[in-house]
Amino acid sequence: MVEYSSEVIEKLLKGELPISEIQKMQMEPKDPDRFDKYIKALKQHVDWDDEILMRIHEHLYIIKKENNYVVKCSCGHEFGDYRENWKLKALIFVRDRNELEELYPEPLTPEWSELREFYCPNCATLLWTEALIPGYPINFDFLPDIKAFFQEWLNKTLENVPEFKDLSSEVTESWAKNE
Amino acid sequence: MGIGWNGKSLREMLDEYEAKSESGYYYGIEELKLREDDFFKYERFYYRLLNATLEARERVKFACASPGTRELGELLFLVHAPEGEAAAISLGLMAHVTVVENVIKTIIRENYEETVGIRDGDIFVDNDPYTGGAHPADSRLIVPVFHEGELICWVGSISHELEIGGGTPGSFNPFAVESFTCGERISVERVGEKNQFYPWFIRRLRRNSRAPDLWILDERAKLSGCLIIKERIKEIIEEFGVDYFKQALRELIEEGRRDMEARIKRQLVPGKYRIPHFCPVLYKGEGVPPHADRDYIIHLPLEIEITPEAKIIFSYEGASRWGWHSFNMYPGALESALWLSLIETLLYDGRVTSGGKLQTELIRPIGSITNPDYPYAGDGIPWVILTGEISMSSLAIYLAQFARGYIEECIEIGANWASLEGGGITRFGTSFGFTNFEFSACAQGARPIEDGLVAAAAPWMPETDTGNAEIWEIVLNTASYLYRGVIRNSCGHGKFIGGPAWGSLWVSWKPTVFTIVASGSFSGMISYQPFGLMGGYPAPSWSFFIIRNPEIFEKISNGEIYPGIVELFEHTKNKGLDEEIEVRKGFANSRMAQDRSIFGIIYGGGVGYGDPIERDPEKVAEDVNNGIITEEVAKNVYGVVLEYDESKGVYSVNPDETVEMRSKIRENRKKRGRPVKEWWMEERKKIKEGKLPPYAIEMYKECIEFSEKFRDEFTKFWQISEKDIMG
Ligand SMILES: [Zn+2]
Repeated sequence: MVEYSSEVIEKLLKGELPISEIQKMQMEPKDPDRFDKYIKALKQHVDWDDEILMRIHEHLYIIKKENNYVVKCSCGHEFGDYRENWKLKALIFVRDRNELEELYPEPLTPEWSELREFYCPNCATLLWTEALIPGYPINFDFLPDIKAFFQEWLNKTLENVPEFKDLSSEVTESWAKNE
Repeated sequence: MGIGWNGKSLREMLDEYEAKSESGYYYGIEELKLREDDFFKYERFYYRLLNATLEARERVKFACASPGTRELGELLFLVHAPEGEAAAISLGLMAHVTVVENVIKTIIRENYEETVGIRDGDIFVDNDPYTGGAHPADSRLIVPVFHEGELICWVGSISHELEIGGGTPGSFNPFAVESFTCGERISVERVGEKNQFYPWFIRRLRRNSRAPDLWILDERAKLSGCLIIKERIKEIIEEFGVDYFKQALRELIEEGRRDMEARIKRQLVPGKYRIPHFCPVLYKGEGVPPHADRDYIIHLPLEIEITPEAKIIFSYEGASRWGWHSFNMYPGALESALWLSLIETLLYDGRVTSGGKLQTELIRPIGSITNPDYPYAGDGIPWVILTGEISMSSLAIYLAQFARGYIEECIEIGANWASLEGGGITRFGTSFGFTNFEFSACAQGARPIEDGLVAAAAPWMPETDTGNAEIWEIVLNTASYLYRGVIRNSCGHGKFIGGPAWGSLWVSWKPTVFTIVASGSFSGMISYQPFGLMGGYPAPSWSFFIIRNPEIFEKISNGEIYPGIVELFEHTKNKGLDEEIEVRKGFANSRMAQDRSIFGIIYGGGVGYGDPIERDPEKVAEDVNNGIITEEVAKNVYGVVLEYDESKGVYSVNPDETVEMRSKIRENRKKRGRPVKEWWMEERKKIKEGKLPPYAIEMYKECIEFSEKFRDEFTKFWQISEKDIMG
């Protein structure tokens, strides 16, 4: 069975593992205890102490805070319940055509899709970009089933795990109400 | 008595397989007895079988195949159980793992066994997508293998043909709006006996292709390869015994399923992944029939659910209806594409058999583009979409493996391709037609640990490359290469950049008649990926261009213009000659090339990863020095201020100004970024007032009418009524 030391996983996470080592890693079967070592390494990676359940993004984590499961940025900003699309609570910027040409050369500049950029309201990191047709609902890219993952796949007990359900439309519903 | 195992008919075997596989195990096999009894014997058996397919591919590729097959290895060999499931698969055109299976199942369901009989030495060919393939360019050749009167297994093969007739030259027919003009169609036919093609089959290929020798060569190559495998199977049966052969075949397929199940649980996270994406259809004014003559967008909302039971469900609920275009997908092809994405991300070093497919489910709404309820829908080039599906699915697997901590495994399988096809009559009066397959070297997406590769691989055939320009010139006939190179600023920007786009430039030389057709994955009117990764940007998609004024070529000849794509665009812009270039960010139908016309394609790029202002400034300087991005983009997008050393001709980082620039970018983001709620209010108003672009309104209306699920999602997100959008 393949196993790596915590140091190796930490180096991988920080981008300090030489590419030759990474290639060896890619050729081996996967190490079954990776998730635990990874979560442990992540604790060194952020400045706050909340319990990390899962890393869903370069900068975003699902953390457990009292009885809530919350999305939190590495800078400390919290986006609320992980079942609500975190993008709805970010800052948004949509590029116009001239601003698109800042990115791509003219013969390749897209014309029919709109490029949306989402920033963290606190640290202003560019967290996500999506290129969708104007009017398309903001995409909820990934909603993990935390309950099944921890309880059924990892055999771990988690308390007060909320039901696996996309709650994003409740956010827009509340917006429409207080319009 | 049937020709299947133990006197059963093939039909009985297929029914039995289907009934027994309901248990969740392939053929109901709950124990891998042979594997447990003698692991090494079992492994030896598998590798003997696998090596037979590999040997066949390597031997015939160079001996008797067309330049396309030879250059890129667009060829695949497989061994199938009598009821159709694959047990061993060669390298090569892996996108087709499950499609031969569909042909075999058609042979069985249509009861060829009783009506005409199936005998040793028979040859079957099929290229009909309706039977389960992707498009007519993929020709499948299948032979039965008999042992003492029993059909012991099938050997199958696939190659992509470069010219199959049809309305436009090449193999894709991207402007065919019904199946009838998509090229020659061979629908599950016996085309030979006693290991020999019927002379009328060869005659048929000769009469129905603009470059028939290429097709005929490939059919011969595949037949030779199948015969090699047949010989090897005889040797394997001699060594292991026929009972072992039968049982091992089944265990291998079931083992493929178990391997898949174990990897899903080990490497992924259960949950929902959504990758909505779009394919523009640019047909307006392109010489198609009136009912197809419009520009519009196909909606492809891919939702992937990984269940607690380690099943992967791919759903296309909400997808557009099938349409009057050439990109409609019949069942087998889509299944194959999605399954391929799992092979390439999860199973690449595992047991690849049909078994793993039992862990997946595909929801294709009837009447949608993923499941047309009209048997003659245009199906010339659904790869326009299918290759995208492989990419999109890999994005979901990317997010899952990232969350699981296997960041070294995250990969966006880049399939941002475009095809140059053409044909006509050479100056010698001979016919020609081709598909230039150099596009197989697609840019790949960035990974959480490193940049994406440039000109690297194609999902449908991972080990491919561009092929030699000199070999392509043989099939291009009246055109020569002027240039191949990377296009500046075309990567998906990010902390790690996606592979930049590259492009080619050609000049035509004294053709009698030469028309060019361009097609490819989601066209340049949109970004290729629906999102960038973790703050990286998506990559632009491809475009085609042509310059007919022969003076431009004269300027290249006398050294006034360097024959690079970027240089050519800069020259025409600076000289106010913009109108000399026709740029098409999408499909181009039958563009006439005259003597010394210049034309080119810029293939798309790979997706970026992470916020660009987190990219190591030294790497950004390197990118500028390597011509990947410009100094301007380095500053505005990456926040890296560079200094140019004229004596050395290189850029280096100004660290202080870079720190300042990057904090300025952050400040600027806070200024231009608005709370989503504010933006949402405004957009909602626009939707209610019908102020979206017409192509967007048209797409929403069509999909809301067609799909309840999409209607609910759309109206709930915007908190509007159906009437607000439908009017
Ligand atoms: Zn933040």
